[in-house]
Amino acid sequence: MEAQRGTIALVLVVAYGAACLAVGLWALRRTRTPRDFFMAGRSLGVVVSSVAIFSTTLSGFGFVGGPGLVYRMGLSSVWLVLTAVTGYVLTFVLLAKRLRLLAEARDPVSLPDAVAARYGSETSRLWTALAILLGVLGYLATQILAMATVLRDVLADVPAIGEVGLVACVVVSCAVLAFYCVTGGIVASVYTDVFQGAIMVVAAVLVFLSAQASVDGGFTGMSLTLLADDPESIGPWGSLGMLACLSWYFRFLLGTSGPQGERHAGEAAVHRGLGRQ
Amino acid sequence: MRLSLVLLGLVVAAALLLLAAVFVVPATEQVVVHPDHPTLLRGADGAARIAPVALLGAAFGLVQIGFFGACFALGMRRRGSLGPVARPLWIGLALYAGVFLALLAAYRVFLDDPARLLLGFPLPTAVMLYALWPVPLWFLWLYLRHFDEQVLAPEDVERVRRIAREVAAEEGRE
Repeated sequence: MEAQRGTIALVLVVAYGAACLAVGLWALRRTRTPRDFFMAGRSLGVVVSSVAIFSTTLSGFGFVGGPGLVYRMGLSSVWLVLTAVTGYVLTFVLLAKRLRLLAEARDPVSLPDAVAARYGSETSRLWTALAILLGVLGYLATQILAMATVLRDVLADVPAIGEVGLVACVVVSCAVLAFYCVTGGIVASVYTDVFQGAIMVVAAVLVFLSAQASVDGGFTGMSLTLLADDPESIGPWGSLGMLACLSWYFRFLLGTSGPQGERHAGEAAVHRGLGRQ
Repeated sequence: MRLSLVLLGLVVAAALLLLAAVFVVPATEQVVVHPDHPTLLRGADGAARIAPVALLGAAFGLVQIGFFGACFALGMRRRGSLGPVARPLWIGLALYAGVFLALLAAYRVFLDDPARLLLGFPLPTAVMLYALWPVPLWFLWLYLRHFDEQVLAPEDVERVRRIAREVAAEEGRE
């Protein structure tokens, strides 16, 4: 079983990619108008929107990069996660109602539409679109890098394939991503998020149980090992220190309301899940 | 006092505290690379690096909790009043601030006796993970509980729909 681990992982990754492509094709059949493409015809339910927001928030940044951050700087990086509730509460309280009413009154298709309708300004539409574009570039690059890194490491474990360059993995990752986004629009994006979210939940539980079982004494054993090496790393401020952690908290408390990469899930939720009575 | 002024005051306070952290407090929060694992950072001496910034950090944390509360109040107000949300909001903020201060107190204990564990983690880390993290769920519950009466009543949506229909009719779109 252990000898086949790489092959099993490769099969799972290929199945995952195929599932994403299948979602793209399925979404293509459901997408008939630009409104379907950008807003899923306002037909997404609360559960679908919620899981999509969850997986978008966690994403490659949290799921692949997060463990790396915890390894590198200890508990400092957990302060990012502590804002999960407060950040979304602020988003809901401050933005959801206004966007919901704006959607009723002016029927915007995208956030730039909503901003242009709110301020009656085409210039504001342009600046919003540019801001989203700039935000998405960095966000998307992180996601693609995470996906490509996982793919490269999985392929490296398969003796028949061996080392594959990161650039080739980026190309494959981009191709899958572009296919399902272009063919299925927001429907494909949200439903692949739901698919990914389900995988993340299962994987997180399995990793949690596996990690706990792999160390004598579970979390107590891990804590004692870390305390012997560097107490601060397992303390509340981690390796970075108090002010760095609190600054991180402040940035993510406010930043949750505005990450442009979450725009599609946020829009879907605002249009359908959060506001509709 | 107007809520917008409170918010402005808290933002200015946060900015001043951060400025103080950058310009007034010396660079005490240095990290060092682990001698055996170069990709790993070490936190160095906790007592030495926390001493100059403890008060500043405590103030910054409390300002953030106040800022969160003010933003929450801003979004939950209806016709200028928090109504039934006011008291639970104050209780929640007091709880949030109390747990944060408990974390700071537990960290003091941790510096003297790091081996004291609670549910698998050092005491302050346990306070952070098991208490500070879940407290904001109180505010989420408040939002859900009072959504219809304070945030978005069905008549709000109906009124906006009616206005949208009237505007569309005036503009000849319907």
